[in-house]
Amino acid sequence: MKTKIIIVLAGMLIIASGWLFLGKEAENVQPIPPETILTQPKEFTLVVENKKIISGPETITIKQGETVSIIVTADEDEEFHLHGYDRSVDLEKGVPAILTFKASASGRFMFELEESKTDIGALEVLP
Amino acid sequence: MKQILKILAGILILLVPTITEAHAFGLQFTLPLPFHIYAIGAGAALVASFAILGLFSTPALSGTSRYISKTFSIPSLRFVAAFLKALGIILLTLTLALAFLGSGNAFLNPAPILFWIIFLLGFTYLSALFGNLWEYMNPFKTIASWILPKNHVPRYTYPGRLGYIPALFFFFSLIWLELLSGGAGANPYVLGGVLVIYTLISIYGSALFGIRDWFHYSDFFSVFFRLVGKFAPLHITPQKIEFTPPGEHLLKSRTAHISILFFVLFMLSSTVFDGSKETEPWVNFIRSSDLFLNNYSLVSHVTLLFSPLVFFAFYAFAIFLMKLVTKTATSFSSLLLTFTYSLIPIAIVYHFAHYFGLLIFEGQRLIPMLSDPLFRDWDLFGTQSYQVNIGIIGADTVWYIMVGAILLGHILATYIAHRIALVEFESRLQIILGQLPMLFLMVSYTVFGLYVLSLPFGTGV
Repeated sequence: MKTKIIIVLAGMLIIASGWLFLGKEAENVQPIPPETILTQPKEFTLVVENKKIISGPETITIKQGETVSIIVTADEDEEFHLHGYDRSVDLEKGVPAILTFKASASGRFMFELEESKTDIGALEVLP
Repeated sequence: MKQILKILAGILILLVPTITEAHAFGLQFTLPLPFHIYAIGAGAALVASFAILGLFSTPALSGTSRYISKTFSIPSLRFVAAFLKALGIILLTLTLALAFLGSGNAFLNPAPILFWIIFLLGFTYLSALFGNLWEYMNPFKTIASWILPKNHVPRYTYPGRLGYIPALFFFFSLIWLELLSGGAGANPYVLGGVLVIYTLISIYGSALFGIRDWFHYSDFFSVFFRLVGKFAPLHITPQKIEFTPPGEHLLKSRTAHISILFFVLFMLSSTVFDGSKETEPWVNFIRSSDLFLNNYSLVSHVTLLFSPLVFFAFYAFAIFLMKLVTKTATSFSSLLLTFTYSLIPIAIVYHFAHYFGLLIFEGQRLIPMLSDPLFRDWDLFGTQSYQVNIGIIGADTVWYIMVGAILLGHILATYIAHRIALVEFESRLQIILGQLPMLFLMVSYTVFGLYVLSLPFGTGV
């Protein structure tokens, strides 16, 4: 009886993990060709007023391995800081500042106005 | 003693409103579960539940299963106990020293990470694997035993009717400090102050009710790690080492007081609360009315306070149905207690699924700080310039670990509830019928847990 139980439980775990990996493959059917990654960074333009994004996405979604450019214009002198990747760019009132980098790690990374410690949005890098 | 407590409490109250460090802590880099993983996880939970019901419905299995238990007569295990006791004192002293002597900034002082991440998360998962090591380690207990005279006679007998309510109160306080204090809990000085106050309360409580009763009923950490340790496959006592199937100790006893049920439910509901409070539905809910937006703190407090009641309502309803269909003579309140421990695996794995990312990412911040613990530009171990590696584990791996852990906990919880039913009920029909409401309850908890992990995040409350 005991062996039976173990076999059935093990079987279920294998099936469950198999499903998970199948699901993973289904997600990755369309890989992005490497040349597009190198030549075209994905651009996102954010306008910040009163410590809030008034134009542009609050959540920026890209795929792992893509290069991203975030262009930020704010209505005050501040510092734009992306958690996790730990990248910052100084913001001068009314002047667009740009942050470009390759998103090598997947996950969800919030960005904030560093000086006033206000979270204004997040970058989601899908695996 | 009372005066000192009052003064320290006063200092703490003065400190709290001046510190606002939102997001000083607890930055998770986890992505919400994609729909297909959520759906597969939920489906697997359902299939597994019925498989367990189908497989184990014969009362023949109700006897205690055999497992490896090794008894030692050598003093080596006493040595381990003494070592753990010393370790507990060293770690508490170290945390306090760092908290008060190091930087006042939560990001530059290692004490908050040591306490909130390494100890409160890391040690919880260690206890879930190696049993209740806290029993030997508890530095608050060690200090109380040093201070109180050997022949100390407690002033009062602990009121048994109170049960574990004091520990539950400290649990609420701890979660409040973690989630709702506006980041005060991450402030090194506040954390140090809280630990000093808690030590004083422990000594005072031990003087009033005796060391044994105080730490059995009222010390949050003792109750928490005792419950978590029951889940472990390994149990170390000064006499023997036991190796059991995981969860076996959850079957050995049942709780005698309803406060333990709420303790376990609060472990589950506070994790769900933490997981929900940055999701889009919650943010939209808050933004939906100026009343909520302007009283955000109050809304959060009420939600957290009432969250275990929601989980309780579902549990009580399942038990009510169980009583109804089995027509058992056992009372409703007794059944509530009988099945309490079967919820522990779900509470632990949900805690793990939600927080292990924090341990992996936030825990890394300890590495540079260890080289410069007091923020004096030292480089003791050459790791001062270490940067958190955000690629250490991919977001997809995190998903699979989350779902895998939750499924494992679900299977164990269902299995344990079933084993309890085998002892509790007599006829095969009673066992099967009585298990159906429990099964739906567990599936609901698990699917709801997965659902919360799949919710998109929102910003800007």
